[in-house]
Amino acid sequence: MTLVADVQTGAGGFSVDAAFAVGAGETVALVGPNGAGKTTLLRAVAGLSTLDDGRVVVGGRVVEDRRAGIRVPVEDRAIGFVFQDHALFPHLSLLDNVAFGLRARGVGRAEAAARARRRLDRVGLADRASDRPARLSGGEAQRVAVARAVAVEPTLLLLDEPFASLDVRARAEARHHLRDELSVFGGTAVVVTHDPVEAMTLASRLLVLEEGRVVQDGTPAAISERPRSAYVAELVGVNLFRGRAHGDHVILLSGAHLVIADAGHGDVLAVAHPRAVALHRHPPEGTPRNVWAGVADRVEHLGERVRVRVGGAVPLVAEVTAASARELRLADGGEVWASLKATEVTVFPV
Amino acid sequence: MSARRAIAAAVAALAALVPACGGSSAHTVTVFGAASLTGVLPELRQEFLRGRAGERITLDLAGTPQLVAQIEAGAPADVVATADEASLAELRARRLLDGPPVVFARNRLAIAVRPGNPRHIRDLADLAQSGLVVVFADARVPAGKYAAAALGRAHVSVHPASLEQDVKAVVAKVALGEADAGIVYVTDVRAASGKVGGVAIAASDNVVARYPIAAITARGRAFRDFILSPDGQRVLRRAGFSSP
Amino acid sequence: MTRRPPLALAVPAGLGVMFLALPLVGLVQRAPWAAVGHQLASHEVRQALRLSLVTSLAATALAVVLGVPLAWVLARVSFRGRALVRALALLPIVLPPVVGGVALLLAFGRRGLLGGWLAALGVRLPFTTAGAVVAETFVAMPFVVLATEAGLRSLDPRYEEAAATLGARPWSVFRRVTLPLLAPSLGAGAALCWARALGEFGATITFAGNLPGRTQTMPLAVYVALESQPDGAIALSLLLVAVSVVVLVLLRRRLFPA
Repeated sequence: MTLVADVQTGAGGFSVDAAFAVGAGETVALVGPNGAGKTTLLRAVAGLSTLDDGRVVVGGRVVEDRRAGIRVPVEDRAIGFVFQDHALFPHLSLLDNVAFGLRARGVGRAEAAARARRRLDRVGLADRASDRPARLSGGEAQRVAVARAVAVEPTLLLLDEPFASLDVRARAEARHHLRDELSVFGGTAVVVTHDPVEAMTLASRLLVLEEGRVVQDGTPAAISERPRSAYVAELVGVNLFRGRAHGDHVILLSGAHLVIADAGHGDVLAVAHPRAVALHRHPPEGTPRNVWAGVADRVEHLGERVRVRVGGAVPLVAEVTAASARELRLADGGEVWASLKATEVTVFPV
Repeated sequence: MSARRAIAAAVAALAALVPACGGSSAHTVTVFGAASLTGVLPELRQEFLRGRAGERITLDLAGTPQLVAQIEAGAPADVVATADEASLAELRARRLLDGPPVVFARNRLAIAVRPGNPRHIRDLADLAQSGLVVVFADARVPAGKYAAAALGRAHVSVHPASLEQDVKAVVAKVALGEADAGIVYVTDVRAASGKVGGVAIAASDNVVARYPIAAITARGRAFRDFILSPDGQRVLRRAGFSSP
Repeated sequence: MTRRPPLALAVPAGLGVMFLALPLVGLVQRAPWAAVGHQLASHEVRQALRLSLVTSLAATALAVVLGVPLAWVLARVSFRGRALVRALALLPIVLPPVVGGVALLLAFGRRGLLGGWLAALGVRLPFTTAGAVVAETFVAMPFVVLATEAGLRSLDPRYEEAAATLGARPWSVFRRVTLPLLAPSLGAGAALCWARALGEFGATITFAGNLPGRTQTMPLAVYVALESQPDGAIALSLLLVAVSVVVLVLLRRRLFPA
């Protein structure tokens, strides 16, 4: 394990209590709603803030342990950090920025410059080595920030919402570059992001943080299958219901009934993929046992697929083909019937 | 207190202050005096005002050149007393005086030393000792001119550590312990007894300072006359000034 | 921005300008322009000028050496009594200069708090050029502290954090990141400090005394010359005004952004 962290820290009436580990070469995405404490957690691991309690081990070395009175300062932790808004030194050229860490560690001027130039070359900015950061676009600056952080070959690379300030197009490009960079880096990385696509494309594992606590930790697939919270469900794009199971049906919190095969007993979470939801103009006939009337709240066209949010007794998201949508003559606010096959719902205990 | 009453109170307070600034009131006389008169002028004022209810005197004390410059620039003085005759002669030449200047007192120089005279200074010659911190007044001030004259008579050459702006500053430096010795007036030593010690200067080397007084406006005549009167002279004698 | 100010504001503003401008106009108008060159070339004036430049630059250097670390501690370290220390650092601005001079005597004079130790080290401050430097530093240092602290507070802490994550030790971070980014604020503070030190009178004459060539700086020379040699005084005053104007012009972007 390259990183083993057990962090308890609180600042201004909000606390983080999270334990997780990241294996060598792994990239973990730290996701969660705003205010969940992702940045707080990251900064605590980096040593930019002090733990109230807990322990952080990087590369097998204890860098912080409150009880044992150990605290290795930031500069000695062999951790690279990429800030939101890059934080490139405005008074230094790109070359000096990337060379900064090397020079700080005693590497000679000429050698540091040579290595920095190679890094800039990799991100395609070698010809602008003597420019100041102010002359770069957001995406370019972020690339340099990553280059600067990995130039010193840290054991662990932490990235705090690296693309938050970029526009959609720049983001896609930056993501692409970062993927490349991470695969060459070979080290371990933790990326904080609130963009699910980013999380899914960059990371092999997702760590979901809500209100300072780890709510879920697993691969994107595992999380998709069994989301444990509304946020995660939204993240992976499935329908999630909470309720009490009584054998062959589940009574949802709203009072509606969901007929499900083998529902079990007790408090459960029920998951249904939007594709399992069928939409009709009139109450359907046939086998579906879960049928509700609703109103088409929001219709989103995503190419050949259409996502429809249906409000009503059982709010859910349905995904249908564009053709079907046209047939149904769905428009925002239109009445619609939704049905869900009992066999397409997964139930698992809370 | 309501806002309106507060404002009324403030206005009343300000109105009460107005007579205190500037000698515009018919009963306030402004006296300009040389720095070396700092100790004796308040006493003279007190004596003068005895039995003169309703009259007020403001004292403005500074180095003689400063007083002269201010009067030339139109400062509202009613009577002026300086430490050398040349200053009032100058004002007379510019027709700024009401009546001729009259010498009202004389003064002599003395050496001010730290209490107990720790450096054993006996005369002006001792001031030339190396390592001694000596100060006197700048040559543009009467006390400075007299000091230079006295040193000249005694054939003593002293390198002062500082040339102060008036004789009271010289006294202060010695009293604070920063200077070992300073050349001041005998009246200064007397006024600061306890804080400084005094060493007499030989009569042959010493300089006589003649203090003139003149009225600038008619209002100032009464105070000028008082200073020249036996009662005023008595106060001056008590302070250590010699008769004119 | 508005082109037509209300009369109730324009009139007092105009009076304000006149109030500030008239003394300068008087100075320029009374100046013996033909003789200014000669005046400024006289020995006493050159002496006072040289002394003023030496002491004010030395005072600025001392103020920076002491003031920048102080500002750093005030801005970055939280400790009990911080508000008190900040008030202390700014005290000389509100203290009457002569009072400052007396206080300096009571601290560093022969009989002052440190008098004994200084004497033992063979150091004497009153009545010396070094004393003039001390007096000027005392009154002018607050400008350095104020400007630097403000600069530090407005500095994005993430630059220093980034430097730390890259492996730079605290002193290295200060030297290679903080200080360069602080340079504009520090420069403005130092310039104001220098201008203040150049114009200092009360504390200098009280603590260091007045002796041509050793402690008689330009403001003291102006005062001494005022009655006996007004032309010389005016010439010197013009010189001081010119220096101040130059400083303000050079700092205009910093003091009045936009």
